[in-house]
Amino acid sequence: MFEYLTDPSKFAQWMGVGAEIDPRPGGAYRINVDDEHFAAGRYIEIDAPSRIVMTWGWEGSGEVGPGSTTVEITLEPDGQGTLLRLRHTGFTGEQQRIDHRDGWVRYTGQLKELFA
Amino acid sequence: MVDTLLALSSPARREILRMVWSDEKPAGEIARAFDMSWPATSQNLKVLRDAGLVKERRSGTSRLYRADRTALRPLESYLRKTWSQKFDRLRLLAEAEERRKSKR
Repeated sequence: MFEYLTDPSKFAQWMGVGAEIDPRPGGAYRINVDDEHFAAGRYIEIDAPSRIVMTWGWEGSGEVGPGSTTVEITLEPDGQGTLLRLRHTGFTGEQQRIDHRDGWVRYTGQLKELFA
Repeated sequence: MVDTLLALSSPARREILRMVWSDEKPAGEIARAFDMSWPATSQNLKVLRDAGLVKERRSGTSRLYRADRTALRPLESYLRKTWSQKFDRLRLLAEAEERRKSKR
């Protein structure tokens, strides 16, 4: 599952239509979500296979610009599956926070379906 | 008024409005129904919300949307007033353009 967070084709398969990724601390990534929205930021920490920290934002967004927020994802074995914890911090507005929470609920749901 | 027209100019937003016209729907369900990416759904809902065309309600951890039909009322008289004259003008312009092209 960790590869879905660092491999360009897997990341794209999970969340969009394309991705450019430089998976090392300090490396940049850019995810083409739907040809109109591009998520971008940098990897901060990569501890395969259990933890990843990256900055997060959207190209062209004034409120959540590229790299303006931080996403921390941890993966741990849980029975026969994997427990994914995602923490997204650094929002300046409540609306943005809720909007991204809804977004992650949707995209983590899609990740689960990829393993079903 | 401009916001309302702008909000309605997108086919995707008109479909969302149709979906929440009589029933309140959670944001996630709207996104899935149109196979739309989350940022696109979220942006469309924001435009509709800013134009006052949908009302947002929070319930627990989810957000629910429903059309606010009263927001369309001012649009009705506006359209009735401007539609006929704009349409006539558009037709005249199109005809003039056709004539200009056929002369070449």
